[in-house]
Amino acid sequence: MFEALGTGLLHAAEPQNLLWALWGCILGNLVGVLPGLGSAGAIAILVPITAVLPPVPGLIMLCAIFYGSNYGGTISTVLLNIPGEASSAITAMDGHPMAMEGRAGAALSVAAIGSFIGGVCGTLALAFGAPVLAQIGLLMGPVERFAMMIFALALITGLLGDRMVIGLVMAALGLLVGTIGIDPTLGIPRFTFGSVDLLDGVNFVAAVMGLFGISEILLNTEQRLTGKIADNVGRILPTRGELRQSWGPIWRGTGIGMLLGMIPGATSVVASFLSYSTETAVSKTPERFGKGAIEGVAGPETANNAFANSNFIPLFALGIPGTASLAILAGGMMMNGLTPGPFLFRDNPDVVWTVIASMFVGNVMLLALNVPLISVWVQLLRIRYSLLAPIIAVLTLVGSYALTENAAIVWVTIVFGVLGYFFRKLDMPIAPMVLTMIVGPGIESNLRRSLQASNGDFAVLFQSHIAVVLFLASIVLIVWSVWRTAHKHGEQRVLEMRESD
Amino acid sequence: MRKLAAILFFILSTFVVAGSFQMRIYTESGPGAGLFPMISGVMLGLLSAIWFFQEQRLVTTSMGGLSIAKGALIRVGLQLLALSAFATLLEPVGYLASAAVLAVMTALIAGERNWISIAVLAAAASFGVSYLFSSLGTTI
Repeated sequence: MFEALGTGLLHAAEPQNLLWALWGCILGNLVGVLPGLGSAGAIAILVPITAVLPPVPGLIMLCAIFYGSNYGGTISTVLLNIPGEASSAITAMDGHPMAMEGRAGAALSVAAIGSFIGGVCGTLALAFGAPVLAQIGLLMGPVERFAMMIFALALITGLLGDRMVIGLVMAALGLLVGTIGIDPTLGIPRFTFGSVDLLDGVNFVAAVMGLFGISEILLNTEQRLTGKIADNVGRILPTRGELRQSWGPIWRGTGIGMLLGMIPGATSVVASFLSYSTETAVSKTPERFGKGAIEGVAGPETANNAFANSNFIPLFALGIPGTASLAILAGGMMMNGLTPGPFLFRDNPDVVWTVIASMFVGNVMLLALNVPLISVWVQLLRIRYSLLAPIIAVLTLVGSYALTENAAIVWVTIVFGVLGYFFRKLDMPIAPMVLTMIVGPGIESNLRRSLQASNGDFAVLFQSHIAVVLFLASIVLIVWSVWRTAHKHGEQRVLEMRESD
Repeated sequence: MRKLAAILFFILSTFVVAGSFQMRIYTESGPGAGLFPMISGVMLGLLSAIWFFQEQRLVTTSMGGLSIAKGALIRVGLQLLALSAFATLLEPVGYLASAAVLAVMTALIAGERNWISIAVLAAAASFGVSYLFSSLGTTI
């Protein structure tokens, strides 16, 4: 493992790979900084650019865009009070008050340092955890893989809480979108309505570019995105006292983010919120939180980035993307001819270890890009959205067109953009749909392979102990989630009745 | 509005289930092309029904999240028109002209009124993006 990682580091340090990692970090940071474009949207828009590169630089750049956008998102959160990502929302609670007090520089530096430590530790967890998990994945047959994917789906939707039913509806919709096109086993067209363009199925990247990119443009057009920037960034480096206050939250955030990142379905929102609540619980002066406490920035930002990097473990080892951003990244990997999952470490060790090693390099680059250059990124926030919107719109549609050089795919992006807009307006979670669009074909092929081996007998699914445990765990998770929601609703109703009395 | 979405999803599920039977659920060689869509369709139908009844129990006074001011609705409509214009014009008139049209329309819809900025944007969106993609080895 150490030898493979060392070789990966040598490859990652090649000038061409370093250059693409740097470009990825700059682009990711840039789209993260600019308000009006979340991490998933940014990755979706930039996937076609990486698709034209060879697999290794393409994947290095894509990963760098992913964690770069996490770093950059903090800047607009702290200075504009506009969280680019839901996971950054908690950072705004103390980050923006710090900016209003003229301590934005300290907040952003501590966030960058915390993100660096969290990112590196998350990558270490990935380097040591993923190959072990991949070995286990290799021992699994189609039945166990099917059960594992069902368990991942249960985790993803079960953790949605109140919105579990809508989440499951969206997951089912994603599964159906994944069935469009020629059936891979029997060659029969499914739901293509006679369209030649749909025979290859709905292009995943084009669809997510619409769901995240176009829908975001439409939402921002509706809301006329504006924000008031905090003018005084203050001193860039934190004081010794601020650093001392931040160490504990940084390490606790690292632990929380790393552990949650390993669970498919857990979101970075949970990681950052859990980190924030931990900090308020352990603090001797919890009343400072919400008024500019540096611990409220250090903990969640670290947890967020540790989560982002260790969340690659289920993707690389089992082929299960834990979040919408990683599902899009998985789509980008497939475009580069790499299938995420246990076979990745066996069939493409050079690629995967180079990419993991590049994450260490990328985190160093991001620290260097963020701490000394904070004032440069701040200037970018002064660009009006009316000047950014045309560039985002053109890049999205051109990127979509570049995927197949066919205008029909542009329509796919627009149609999914309109759908995404309505989903977001109706508060319907898009992430479960995107996740099932990417894992759906895997679920189907594993189910069919299992049933083919048993001549169509569904009992085969319950003959493996691992599969039975995973199915039971899925049922327990869903039942627990339903019970928890019902219990919460019951309590609310009692409260409402008491209030009306 | 969410209730309407639940009904639409339910209708979609019935269409999918009906379609999956035409594709055959089982064949002599094992599971047919319609098996998985059928399972997914049944799931979607059941869940949509549960969702509908959940929404039915909620007392809502608004349009369930879909209330849009008239001005905003016009802006969204115009933005959609701009995006559709790009998709329609792309092949007949070429990338440069259609990207310029999209950039100008989007800038105007987003509230930009400085014509110099708009001209620079149109040039960047058409020639700049074309250069970016061609330098990466993709012709558009």
